Amino acid sequence: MTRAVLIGAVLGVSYTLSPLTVIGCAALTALLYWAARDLGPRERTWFLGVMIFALALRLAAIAALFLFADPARPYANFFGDEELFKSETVWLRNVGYGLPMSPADLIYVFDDVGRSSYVYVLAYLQALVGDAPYGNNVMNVAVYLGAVAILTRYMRAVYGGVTALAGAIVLLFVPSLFSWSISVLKEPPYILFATLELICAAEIVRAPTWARRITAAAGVIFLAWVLGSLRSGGTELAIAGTLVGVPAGLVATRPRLFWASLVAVPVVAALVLMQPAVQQRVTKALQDTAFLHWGHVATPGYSYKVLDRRFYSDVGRRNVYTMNAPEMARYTIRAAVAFVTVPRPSEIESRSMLAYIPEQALWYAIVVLLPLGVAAGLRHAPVVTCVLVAHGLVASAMVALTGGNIGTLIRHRGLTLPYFTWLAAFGACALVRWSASRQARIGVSPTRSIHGTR
Amino acid sequence: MALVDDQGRLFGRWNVVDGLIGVVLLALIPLLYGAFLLFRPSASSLTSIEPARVIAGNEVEFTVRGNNLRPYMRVSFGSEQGITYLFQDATKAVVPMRGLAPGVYDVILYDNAQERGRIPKGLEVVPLERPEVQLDLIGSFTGVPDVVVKQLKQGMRVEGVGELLRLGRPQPASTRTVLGSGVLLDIPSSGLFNVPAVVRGTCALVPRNGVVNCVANDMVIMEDVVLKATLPVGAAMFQVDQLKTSAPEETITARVRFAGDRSVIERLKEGDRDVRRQNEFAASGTILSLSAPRQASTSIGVAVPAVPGVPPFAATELAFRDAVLRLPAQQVGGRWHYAARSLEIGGLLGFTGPGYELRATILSVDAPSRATP
Repeated sequence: MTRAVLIGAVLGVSYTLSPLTVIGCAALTALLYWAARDLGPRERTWFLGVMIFALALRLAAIAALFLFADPARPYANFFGDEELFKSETVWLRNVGYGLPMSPADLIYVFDDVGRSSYVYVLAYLQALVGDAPYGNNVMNVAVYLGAVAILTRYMRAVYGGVTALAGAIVLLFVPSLFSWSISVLKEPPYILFATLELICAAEIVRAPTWARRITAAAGVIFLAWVLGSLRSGGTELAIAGTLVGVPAGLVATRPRLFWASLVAVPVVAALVLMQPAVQQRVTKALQDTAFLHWGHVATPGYSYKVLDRRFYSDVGRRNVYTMNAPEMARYTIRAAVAFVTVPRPSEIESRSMLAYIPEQALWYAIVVLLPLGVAAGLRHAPVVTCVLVAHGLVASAMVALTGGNIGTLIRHRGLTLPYFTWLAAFGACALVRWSASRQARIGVSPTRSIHGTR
Repeated sequence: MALVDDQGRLFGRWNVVDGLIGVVLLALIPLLYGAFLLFRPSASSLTSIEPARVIAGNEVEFTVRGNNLRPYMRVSFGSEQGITYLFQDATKAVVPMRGLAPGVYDVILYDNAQERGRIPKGLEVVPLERPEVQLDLIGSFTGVPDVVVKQLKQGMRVEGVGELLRLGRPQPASTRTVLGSGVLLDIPSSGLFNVPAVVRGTCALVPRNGVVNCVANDMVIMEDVVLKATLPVGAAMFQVDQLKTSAPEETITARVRFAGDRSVIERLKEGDRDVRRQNEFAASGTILSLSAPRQASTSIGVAVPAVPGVPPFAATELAFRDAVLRLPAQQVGGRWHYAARSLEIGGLLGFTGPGYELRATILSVDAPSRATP
């Protein structure tokens, strides 16, 4: 009884101070309880320990932001872009309530720059609980951790507990994703809905009944629409990832079809690409992405170039629309290489760039382990593996072809991590298993070699 | 009963550590509430604005005073947002503003989210009183169809132009059109008409770029300008040929000396009229008498104003010739004016005769003798 009263009092005070913090943490607690419901004691301890540690770190970061905020400003932000979400959502709420507000704000509230449907969600939440400049951060933490918990549970069922836990640790503590997850940006909800879309795409094939498969397909369509409303290109990414990943998964489960497709797919692709209409569309698409890339190169900060030199002499960027086939080929190859390697440690020019090195090292490890994970995954869970690879590659292509600013590339490359991390973790597990079995074959106890003498 | 028993329980009931945690949590509640009261943003308000009455058209730096003002606030005057908000301290800020139309405005304070304070009708912007003058605009309704010609009546008030004092006979349309910098060409329009007219219009004296212009309907009134006249059947163009004040017009004589190339000087004839403006109501001087052409000494030069890009004309055989002109003139500010140009001894007078154009130096101005009562 006393405990209940105490908990009630603490919750009441907390809710008064920050309603969204209480709502977000309560929702996350319920989700974690669900996610850990049938885990063994050891795995449950690890899973909840990692999630609670991740939550505590994030809440501490948000508390520090609040405590060290400049009183000359209405609230503090981790990123400049948060200003848009924090202010615009309050203005939108005010418009809904008919509250008088500054004429300038009334103009900006309907500005199309950075428009995302998440603005309306946050506006609605703040209509319910009042202004929440820091509560929004906590809500996004809950959303992101919820996405990781859901993905962890799903991947555990597909690839096993160790892979799932390793993937979760990467997604929770990679610096760029950590930063995103505590910000009031659209990335946390985007990753949540991308997670759900990915699961729906895989379940189109994996679901045991036709009713569930159809529901999963409808879920993909709905979630693709949601993703498009959150971020431009989200719909295309989801649809393309599903249209490539699901058939590839179906083919991968049928060995004869798989071997036949290895021959047929390149031939069909070549025939399709020989069509003038297709060539025209591909050319236009590549020129458009090159135009965006040039724009990113011209933004403040550190940039990298992937086009031929002649295109950068035209500040109007219209030169890219004169790109010919060899130039497009070079641009595509350089963009792919840059996506994987930038920022190269040997090219780091400033101390601030040094901060990227740990994440870059982890990224290189993921890139190295990815092929192993794909190879092992195709044998173990071909559909999910194909869906993950397809979504990851489509996201990579979008980021690689348009990127030109190193900071932006690293941020956007994080979009591919929810797809590639699981495969890399599975690859690492496969590597350890292979190493252990090899040592067993040559007569060394794997237990002794991995864990030492007990 | 022991305070803490051998099981580590407080009063035999609670674990000591649990109890301590409970005490800390209970203590946190008043602490948090106290912190909330201490750090809660105080309500902001406005108390005054200086100046509270300004003249329209000027940029003004308003000083707003209030309570708990903050650096990120903004101020608007009605729906007009201040240019910026310069925070001085928690009780004072400066808000520059320009372009406020005459009227009474609420002064409104906003934070980053919404309105936080207001001084109802706190600012009055009064219109700038500008001197207004009347000018007679001699010109033509140009390029107008027959239906418009029939609507024009002497004495009628034409919206956008003024009162129609005199109306001439319709002529085939010819509109002076700008074809380049300083290049004007009369372009005819078939089936349409020019109707010469004298219109009395009112305009305000407005300082612009270091000079004073007479402005009506945001248009500077000057020769060659086209005003948009609104008639019952629609809009029409009124092209100004010449401007006059409303002072009475009198006929004066002026002695002038024409100078230029001998071949042009010899074209002057007594009775020639200044026909620069082909408008029956335009002031037009006449040559009353002429002296014989005289050879100019070689030291005399003629400055010929050049159009940009065109080399100055150089006379090869210079001559000059004195003449007496009869000029319809108006006396404004004690000086005589012909076609709105001041007649000063030593000044220049342009004269466009039949087939030639010359400039003359004014030697004397002879005002008419007024009959004494």
